[in-house]
Amino acid sequence: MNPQWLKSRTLWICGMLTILILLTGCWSRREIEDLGITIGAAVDIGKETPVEQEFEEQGGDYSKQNALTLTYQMVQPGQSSTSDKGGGEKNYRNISVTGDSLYEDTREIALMQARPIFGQHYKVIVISDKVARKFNMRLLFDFFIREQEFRPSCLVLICKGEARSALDQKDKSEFPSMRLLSITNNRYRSTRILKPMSLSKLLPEINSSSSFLLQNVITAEGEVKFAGAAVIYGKTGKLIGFLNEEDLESINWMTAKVKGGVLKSYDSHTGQPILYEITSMKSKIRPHIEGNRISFDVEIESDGRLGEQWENGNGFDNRFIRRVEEETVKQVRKRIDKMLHRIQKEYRADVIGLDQYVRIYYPRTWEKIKKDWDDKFANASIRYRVKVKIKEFGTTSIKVH
Amino acid sequence: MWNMFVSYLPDWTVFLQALIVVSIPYALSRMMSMTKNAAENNIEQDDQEANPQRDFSGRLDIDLDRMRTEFGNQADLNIRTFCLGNTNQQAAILFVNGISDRDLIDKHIMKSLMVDLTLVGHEQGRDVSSPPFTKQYLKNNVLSVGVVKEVDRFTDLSSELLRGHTALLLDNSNASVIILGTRKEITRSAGEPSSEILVRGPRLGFNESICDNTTLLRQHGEKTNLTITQLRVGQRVTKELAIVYIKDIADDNLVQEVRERVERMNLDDIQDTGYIEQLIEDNYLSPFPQVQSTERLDRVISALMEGRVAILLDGTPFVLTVPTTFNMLLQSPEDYYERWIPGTLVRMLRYFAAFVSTFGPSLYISFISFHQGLIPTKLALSIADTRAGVPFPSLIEVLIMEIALEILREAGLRLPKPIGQTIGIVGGLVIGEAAVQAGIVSPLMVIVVAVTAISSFAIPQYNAGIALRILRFIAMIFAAIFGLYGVVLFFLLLCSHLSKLISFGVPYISPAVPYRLQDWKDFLIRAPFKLMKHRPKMMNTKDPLRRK
Repeated sequence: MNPQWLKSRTLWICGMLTILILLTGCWSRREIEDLGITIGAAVDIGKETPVEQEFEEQGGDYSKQNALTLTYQMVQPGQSSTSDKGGGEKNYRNISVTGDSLYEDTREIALMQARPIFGQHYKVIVISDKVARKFNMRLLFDFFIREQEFRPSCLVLICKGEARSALDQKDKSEFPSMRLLSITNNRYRSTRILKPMSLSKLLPEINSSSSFLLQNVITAEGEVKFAGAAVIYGKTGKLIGFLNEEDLESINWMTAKVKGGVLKSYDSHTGQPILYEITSMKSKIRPHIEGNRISFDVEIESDGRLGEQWENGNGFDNRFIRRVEEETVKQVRKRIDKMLHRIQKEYRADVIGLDQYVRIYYPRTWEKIKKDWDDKFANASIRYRVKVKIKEFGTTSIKVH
Repeated sequence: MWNMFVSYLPDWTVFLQALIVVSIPYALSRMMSMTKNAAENNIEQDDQEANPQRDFSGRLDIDLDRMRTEFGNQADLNIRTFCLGNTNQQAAILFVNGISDRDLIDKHIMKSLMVDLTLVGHEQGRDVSSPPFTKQYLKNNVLSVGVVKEVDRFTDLSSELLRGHTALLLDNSNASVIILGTRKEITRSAGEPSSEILVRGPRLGFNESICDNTTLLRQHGEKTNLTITQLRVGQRVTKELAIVYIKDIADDNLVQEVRERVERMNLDDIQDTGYIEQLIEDNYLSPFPQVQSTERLDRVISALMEGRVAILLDGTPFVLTVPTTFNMLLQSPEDYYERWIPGTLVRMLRYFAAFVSTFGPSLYISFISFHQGLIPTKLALSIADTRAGVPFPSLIEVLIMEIALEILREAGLRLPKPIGQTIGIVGGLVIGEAAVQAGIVSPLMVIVVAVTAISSFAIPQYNAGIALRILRFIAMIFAAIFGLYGVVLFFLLLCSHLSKLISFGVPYISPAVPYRLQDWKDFLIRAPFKLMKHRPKMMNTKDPLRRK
């Protein structure tokens, strides 16, 4: 213990600590209860709410053109805890602000609410299809991506109609935003749900100017439903149309981004429905480029079980099972054909993600053709084979006597 | 030009701040150095103390007079003069009431000197009646006492008397006094120490007698190389101290270092090994205990077998083992008694508990006040709900509960055992519940504090637990100022301190820094005995192999 050494060290430490305390402190401290935890946002075409109109009449106005209406879903602290009431109503509030800039709108809320918007818990961003048709996605999402307080895992949805209606549901036992997010967890039950597109996954899609799909949600009388997908065209970054539920299902079949679900087909002899339930699915996509001709070979293989039958087929009979398999394959092929026609001929946009395969298999060629890939895709020939195998029929089967 | 310079000069407030920033640490360091100098001066004064010596005259009446005057009015000094055998040679025995064995004195000393002395002489047919009896004769032929020695200094005599021995003074003899070992100790049985309880393992602990304690160490199997070096420590109140090590395992330099440090202590009264611990430790500013103290015999034995050195002091059941490393504080002897899988699991659990007890509340603060985005949304919502009525920022909230808990813990220690437990439960439950009801703290806070408290109880060493408790509060302040960033900063500060800390030449977090993979078998995990063939390398032992 050299005193000289000790002294100088003490001097140092004390100095450092003093500087530390004096120069900064508590600069970003905000208690959790003082935050307006926001779990959802919706963007619509500008239309002022009655409250806003009244505000403006009273003089609460600033220079703006009312291009967009931004709606935030804020959790109101206090009663939303379920401890006392046991699954009581969730207390939330949707606040709409109209303006030109999403950022400015967000800051406008600080003039109205005790707890300003805190975005680190965003669950969903719902974009109205009208907005998506009008604005480039890159510009539309600029605020959400640029803002430091955003959650990259937040889900992006398109709503056909008014986006904020998706955040305003009749069922109050759950936060509407949470409900929308939770529906994406049901992919093991339905093939008609797109793999969730989060904000962080959206960014590379936008930046690479490739076409992609966004899950579409529709509303009716305070209820919501996931219905098909919206097609965002890469070059313009705008919405150009929708795929219906069966198209979305076919896309999921092609890319095998399926965790479970059913497929209904009709027996060609009796015309009765048969249900095939998917237990596993694989697909192999191989691109071929010969000169100017681009083609794809897709092999889809699926295992599953006989889920439901409306006719007297004998589940113990292999011939019947083979017939069901054939019917299912026929059904799948029919739907895929329809889907391919729609995206190749109607929208001319590669929303399946085949560009990635070209990029991986033919990196040099890809550099040349990536600029107008969507047109190339529209002319590409896609061959596919579907193999379906029914491995079981559940706990029972109908026997013909 | 000049105006430009002036415009770049900061405001006077900045200069004022700078002045404060410079002057506070300077003043602190000045204060530190002043106290240090004062301490050094004191030590010099202590060295100059005179040590008077007095010899005995050899004449009983003069010596007894001197004894009386020296001892003054000590009520419990007993002086008994009598004649040896049936002669008229005067003799006197001196002993202090209570701490000497009266039974032994009456039956074996008095009786031998007054009655048996005649008999012995007669039986052997020697002329015994011719006085004076020599001391040599008495020692060899008469006194049937195990411990006999001669002293010729008065200070030695008084110290022996005060330790419970009996002094025998003879008239007309050479100038020395016979000391007879009649020490009687008030000891208790070697029961299981209540501060370190195991489920499985020996139920043996040290007690307050150094004699019993060394006996316990000796009794643990036959170890010819167990070396017990006795020292006397304390300037005014001298006490027995033993340095124990295993000769062919412990490093000689280490033993020498321990000896030197113990001899350098120079304190007038050493009441407990706690005094020694604080006087011989390397860094008195560190919150971490650098010397392990334990009441458990098996802990000391295993430390000795690893090449460490134990320090025993008379009058305390706590034995020190040096050098101490951080991993020792989180180990329990039980780790080795159970099979290695449960041992490993429990040990890792303890490391986790140590982490929680240090960083639990600070993580809570940083999540609540700074990084709300890192909490799962549903949890964040429910926290926001429960905290909606709480008027304090999270630091104050945590401080209220933590301090209440520390007070409860302290109160529980002081109270008699049955009440202590009740207080713990009542206090913990009632205060926690009531504080939540009253809206002073949030329910999650109570959980955090409770988990932290439980975690700190999972640390087997009490003093290590205290160290982590202190650090917890510092971590909380760091968290309140800088959030998670501050917690990380504090952790780094702690790591840099720990890696610099040295206990008796061994780095404190030794198997980790410096990195010795060989020793990791007994660090975070407890490897099976089949693999643990070596003693810890950090101890630099003479015999590195545990099993061949």
